Amino acid sequence: MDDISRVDSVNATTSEDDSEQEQQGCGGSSCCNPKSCIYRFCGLVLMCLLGFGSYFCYDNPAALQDNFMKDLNLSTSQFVYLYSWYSWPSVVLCIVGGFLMDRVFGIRLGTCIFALLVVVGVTIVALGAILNKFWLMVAGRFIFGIGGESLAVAQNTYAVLWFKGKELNMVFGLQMSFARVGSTVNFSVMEPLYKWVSTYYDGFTCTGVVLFIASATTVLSLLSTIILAWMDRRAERLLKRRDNQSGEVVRITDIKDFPASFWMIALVCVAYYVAIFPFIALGKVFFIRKFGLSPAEANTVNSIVYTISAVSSPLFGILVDKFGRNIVCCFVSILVTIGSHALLAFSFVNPFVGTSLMGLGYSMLASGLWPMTAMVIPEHQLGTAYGVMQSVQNLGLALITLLCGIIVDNGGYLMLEIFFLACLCVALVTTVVIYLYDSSHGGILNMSAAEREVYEKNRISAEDLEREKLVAAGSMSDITPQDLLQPHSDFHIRNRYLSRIGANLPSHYNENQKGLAYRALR
Amino acid sequence: MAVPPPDRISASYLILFVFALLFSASSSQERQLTATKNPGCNENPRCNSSVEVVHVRADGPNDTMHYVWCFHSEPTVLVALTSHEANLSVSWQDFPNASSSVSFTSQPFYSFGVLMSQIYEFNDINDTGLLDPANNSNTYVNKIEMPEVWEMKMLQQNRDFVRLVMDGTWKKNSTSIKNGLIRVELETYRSTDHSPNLPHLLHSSNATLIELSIVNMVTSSGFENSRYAIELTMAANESSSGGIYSRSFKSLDDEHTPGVFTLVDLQTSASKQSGNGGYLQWRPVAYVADERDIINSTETAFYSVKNGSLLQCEGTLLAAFSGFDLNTSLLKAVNVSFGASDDGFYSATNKTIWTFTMGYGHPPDENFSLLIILVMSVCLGLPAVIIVLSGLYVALRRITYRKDDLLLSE
Repeated sequence: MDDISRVDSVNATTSEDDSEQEQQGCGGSSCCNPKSCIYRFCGLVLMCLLGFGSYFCYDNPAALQDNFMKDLNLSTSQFVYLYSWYSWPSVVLCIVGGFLMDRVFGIRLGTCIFALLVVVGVTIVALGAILNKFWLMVAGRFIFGIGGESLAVAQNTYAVLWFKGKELNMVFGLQMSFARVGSTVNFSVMEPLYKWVSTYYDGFTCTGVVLFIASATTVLSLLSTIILAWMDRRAERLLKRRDNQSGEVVRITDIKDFPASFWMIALVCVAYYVAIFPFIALGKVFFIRKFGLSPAEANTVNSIVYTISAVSSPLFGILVDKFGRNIVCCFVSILVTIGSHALLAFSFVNPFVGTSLMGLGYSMLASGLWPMTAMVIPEHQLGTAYGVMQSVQNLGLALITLLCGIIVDNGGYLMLEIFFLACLCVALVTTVVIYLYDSSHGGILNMSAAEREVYEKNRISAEDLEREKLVAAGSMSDITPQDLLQPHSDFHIRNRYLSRIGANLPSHYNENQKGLAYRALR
Repeated sequence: MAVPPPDRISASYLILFVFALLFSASSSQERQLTATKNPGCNENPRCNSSVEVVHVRADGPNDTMHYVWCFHSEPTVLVALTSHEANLSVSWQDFPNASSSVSFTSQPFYSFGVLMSQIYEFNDINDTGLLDPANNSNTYVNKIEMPEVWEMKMLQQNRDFVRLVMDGTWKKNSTSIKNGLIRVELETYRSTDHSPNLPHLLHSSNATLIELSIVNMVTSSGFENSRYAIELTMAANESSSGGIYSRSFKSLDDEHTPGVFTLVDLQTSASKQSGNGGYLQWRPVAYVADERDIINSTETAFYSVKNGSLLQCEGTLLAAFSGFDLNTSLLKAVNVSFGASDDGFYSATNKTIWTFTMGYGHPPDENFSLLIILVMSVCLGLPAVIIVLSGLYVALRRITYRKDDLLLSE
């Protein structure tokens, strides 16, 4: 928390003429001004498009399950491989992806690479279908998984970079609803598309061609990442923003030093989401048997969670942007979800009520929870942090989904609902603990929006002051000009002091060496 | 703090548990089971070749339940409550064509019989999962007589239960050749419990559990979307004006039968009014594969109770039993169909397994089990306590902070 700073570095002045030129060259219109809302809005559209392709293609097999199994002669368990080979590797590879993005590629190159991986993966899947080689399809899904999940991490990081302190919560909400749109469009488009293609081709070639057409959406996403990278570079140059002002570099061991509040946020994330996604996966029979709905009605009730969240999550995001207090928002949304599950478990009230409430709670949580990570983790570690969060979530979901199947088959839906309620209670208790922890550590998470602004200003000016004090303190013999350009953390100053009085520092404490050791990789 | 030490917590749970055990044990009686094949049939040659009647005596502290499982033509189950002295007597020369060829040495207090009288195959074109009772056209419904040949697969007897498994097939030379297998499995138990297999029906010691499997039936030609239904005919020594009352009760709890929340009871008026009549009970679920789970399950539906046909009862145990005169006593029938829309029809797996219990008394009510209550109180109670405590903590801290502020400002 102490090392993010937005101090303009001195050497940025050299590019000032450059930026003026550019602004003039663009006619000074607001679309080209990186500070304007319109520029950011364009970025937002691209950020949403960036994930569209992978969300669209992820559910292609599910949308065409019957055709897939018939054309490629798959058993149900083989079909499931298409999903498990996507999701299990990503449990680990999200962290790696996020870390590489922070450390090696940088966000722009990283995002482009991940988007490219998605395109390659999806193309291989389509190729596998055309050649009727199942192993090739599985390999394609694997590559797709590596790219797709890391791309989601990159998407989060971009959002924070561009919108932190502005419309961040809304942006998270919007990204989520766009992901939903992607998967919904997939379910409604693929079936007619298959029918159309089947007039020209048949059998596995038809499936392959359909998948090829679907993979065009990932190319669209790749294009948007490239444009976004260009826009981001331009914005960085013109606004003299630097991703990594403090010059600090993330290390994989930094994960263990992430603040406790981050781990608790990740726990809330897992404990909450396991009460949503597995429920939706198993919900259909529950709605038919307990509430006497027809299969078609049960599907509608099931999908209402997503439909509502697609509409309401940007709205909740705007609300959270306006009022802040993310923890209260999370607390309320978990309470609402507990209410909805309790309604479904312990009453015969029409399930539309329960699932609608659940959709509201779910969207409110998504817009409140994910931005909290950006408040407790410094920017240079953010990719890694979102990677860890995504991994933890994927792991939790994968394991709990298996567990839920066992619970339903042995204990019934009532037991399953009680299990979900227990998970939500864990999330609720953790939220309370985060609140207590946070309020004894500055309380940024639960500040109102106005308080947060004041807090940020104070922090920046305190860091300025610290730097000036250091410069003014004399005894400049061992201070290089490079040092002056960088803000100093307490940690840095303490080390300098210790080394001056001749104390032996452990090798990894020596910041100069640390900088040198990793320079080659940047 | 008022939190008891851990050992006291476990002790209190133990006490709760013991109470629950005591309660469940005292609520019903145990009975001693004795099963006999073809009772009293030593000299008649036909008893050596096949098993037609299995008689189970269940002696309780106050009275004796008799279960007579008969597989001559249609499968029939008879439940009779008698004094300890009464015994079953079958006059094998006349059985089953003469009435009163099956009787008890002393008149039973109550008797109730169920006959699987007929199978229907119907062509569910609109995929509703429901049998249309009004439609009798032969392109819609095909009436199938019960199999003629019954072969005993298993008769197992021990202290806790008696189990009989019978396989029925059709004779190759019969006029309506039918390929397939009807398996009927009958069980009765020493005490009240849930049955070991799904749907885990709750049975008392006064009941027989009946499982019907319709296996590998070759569906009729011209029937694209075949489903099956069964007709059960019930007889009891009650006045025929009494009737049979059905109740479909929905609960929140599907712990014992995952994915099924409804319990269906059919009761005679004596059972409904005073709890000393016959009943049928089932969960509206049928399994379509040997591996019984939610994925392999479909629904069942039952239709309004109609009058039973005397013709159907001819040559069965119901007509041969002296306990009721079918002309004057209660004789009703009910249809139960198997399948639900969107389940792929019978041919998806070529198997349907449906289980029900028949017995004497009031049909047992399901309650929240101890496990559910324990899990609920731990999973939901504990977090609630934690949240209340932390709320108190925050409130207390706020108060003390305010005091500090006051001190500072002075």
